[in-house]
Amino acid sequence: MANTFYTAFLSEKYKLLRNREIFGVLIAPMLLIFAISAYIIYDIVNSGGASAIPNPWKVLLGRYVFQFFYLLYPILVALFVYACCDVEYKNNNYKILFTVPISKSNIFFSKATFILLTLLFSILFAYAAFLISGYLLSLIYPVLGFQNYDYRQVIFYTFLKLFITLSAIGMIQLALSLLFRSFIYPIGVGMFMLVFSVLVAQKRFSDFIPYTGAYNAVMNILSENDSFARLDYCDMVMVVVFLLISFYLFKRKGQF
Amino acid sequence: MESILTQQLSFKIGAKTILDNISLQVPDRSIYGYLGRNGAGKSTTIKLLLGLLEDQADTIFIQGNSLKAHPTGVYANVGNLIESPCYYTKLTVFENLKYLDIIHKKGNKRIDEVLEMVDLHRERKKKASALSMGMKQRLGIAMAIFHDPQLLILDEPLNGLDPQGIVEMRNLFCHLNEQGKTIFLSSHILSELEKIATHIGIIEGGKMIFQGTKRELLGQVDREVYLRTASPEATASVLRNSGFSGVKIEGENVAVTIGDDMQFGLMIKSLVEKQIDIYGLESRSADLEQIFINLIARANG
Repeated sequence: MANTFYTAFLSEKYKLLRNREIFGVLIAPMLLIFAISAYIIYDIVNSGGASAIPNPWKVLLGRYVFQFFYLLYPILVALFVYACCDVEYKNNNYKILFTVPISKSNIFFSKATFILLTLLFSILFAYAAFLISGYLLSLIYPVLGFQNYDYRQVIFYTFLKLFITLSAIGMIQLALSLLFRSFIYPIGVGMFMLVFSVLVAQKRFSDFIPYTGAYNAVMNILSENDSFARLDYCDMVMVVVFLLISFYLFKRKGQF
Repeated sequence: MESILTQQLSFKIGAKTILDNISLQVPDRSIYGYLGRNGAGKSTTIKLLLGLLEDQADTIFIQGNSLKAHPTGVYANVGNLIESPCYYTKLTVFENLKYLDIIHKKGNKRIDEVLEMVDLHRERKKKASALSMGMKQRLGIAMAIFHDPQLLILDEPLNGLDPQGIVEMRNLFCHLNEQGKTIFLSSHILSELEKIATHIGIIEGGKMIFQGTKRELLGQVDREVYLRTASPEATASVLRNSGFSGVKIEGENVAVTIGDDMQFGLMIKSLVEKQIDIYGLESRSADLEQIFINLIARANG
């Protein structure tokens, strides 16, 4: 027995990996990209042939993928994070969690690390699926011109910024899931913020709303934006702030 | 040495006092039955003993260690089951114990051993959510004893078990106690507690109204002795003249109330002196349930 972060992480990983929701957040974005690629092929076949497109990474694949992502990804993250907390709510399993010989801080930070790592892998899988889809489309339909554009830097930064945004959303959802036992509140707030962020995306204050980041990913890929802006720095701060708020809420959970 | 020691443990929620100066003394290697009515403060005490409620004053010592100062060290040697069993519904029976194994590092052999002990080895691949109520209770007990703790704190561990299950769990607790474990348990099934407890604590309205060995508790109340003699009338007369109370003739028997062992000796002596033949003798003491009800009534005036 060892009261270490590593032991806590292994135990959290063992328990949380058996949640179906984790596969939703890990695999769904990747499957979506492949589904969009399949649709592009279907569309070309139906329309009688492919024609050259200026920068298909942006206009064809990027546009479709990120339009889906900005609505889908935050919801997947909210569901996944809630599921990570829900395993402890069921049967009041906090009683197990707080009577094992591991400190609350190790348990909490291992849980948060697991959430962030899952989001990282989810983004990495989606990033790989995006590049593979473009590569496969360039092989099947060279006329589309995927091979003619080196768009890797913009794609990389768009996915990187999306990861930072999702991490901030993940931490906000973690705080909400720890605050409210009922499924309705964290998911409801997440959905509301998503819609709200789309409505106010053009306002300057929207930089302080991490949910705007998912919408901005569409803009980033279309406008070839690969630089960090105020929103991205705000998201980084939000990750830390909401991580600490969540830690406070988690420690308070011990008082039944 | 005491496995559990509390020094005037008190707990309030707002202005309401839930526990009032509880000084628990649970001896090592004992089976301590903790009794009380609903809302008396049993579960609050247990949650405080496990650190699930915060004891601001640092008055709880588990196996000599302050719970407040060394919570993780204490948890390594304490197993618990509070109210309803806790387990992860999406994991199988085996996986629930494997999760604990990652923390306690006891190995798969220990998982098999514990599953055998609670008779769940045939359900090891079943999802915990698919178990019957009694089996879930067994899983809760398996999770409590998995890391071979020296102290078990069990709140209503017999809930949901069928009569055979209750007997099996009673035997398991006795077996664990024989191995040197201390067991602190609360239960509403007083007849079961009476069979296995070595020590009893009774709480009422947040106050401890009795704490001691089971023998001391049973010795607190009078018992009725039934004598079968050649002449019930003569026997009753001798006993009345010797100052015994509650003497009454019931058919061929004479009933008399005896306070303690010394009085019992005096009764025998006075009957022998008057040359009364005793053919049979039966002593009926109040059971734990009756004593519990009497003590609660006395505490409430």
